[in-house]
Amino acid sequence: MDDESQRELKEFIEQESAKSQIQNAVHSFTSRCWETCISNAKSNQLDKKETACLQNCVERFIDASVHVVKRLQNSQH
Amino acid sequence: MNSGSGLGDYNLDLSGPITSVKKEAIKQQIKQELAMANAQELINNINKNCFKMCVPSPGTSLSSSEEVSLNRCIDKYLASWDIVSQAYVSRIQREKH
Repeated sequence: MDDESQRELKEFIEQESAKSQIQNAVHSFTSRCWETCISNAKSNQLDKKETACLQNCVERFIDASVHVVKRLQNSQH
Repeated sequence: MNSGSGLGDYNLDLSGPITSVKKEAIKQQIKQELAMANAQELINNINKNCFKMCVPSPGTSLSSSEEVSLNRCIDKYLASWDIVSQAYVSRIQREKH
């Protein structure tokens, strides 16, 4: 395969792989936050409270992950 | 779950010089396999979470009320996926600035 084609495909795979990583994170957040925020399937739609809970859940989960990493970095001697 | 397929299974003739047609075929194949993996992950998670919610004590068959609950749960799960996706993507964009 010529250099140009190799570069083109490499770039394509990197882009697709980045998209895939984001999708996987969304899968994992959705499952995690579903457990926290959704307690019933009485309706097939999310109500305002559930929607807000899901949004907060994603934000706080990321905050908590960042916090854990910072805390562990600071505690290194 | 295993998709059970690699590039090799798709009659992609990679011998000879690479043409733009072959490159497109490779790209389409990659996209398709990732889309398949994404769908499988979604289905697995819906099964796991909606079974837990709608069939707490499994009987000898799936009752109609359990089926109704599963249908609502599926819709709700998909809506949740969209909300979470929007929240995550907007967070990533905010972090960039």
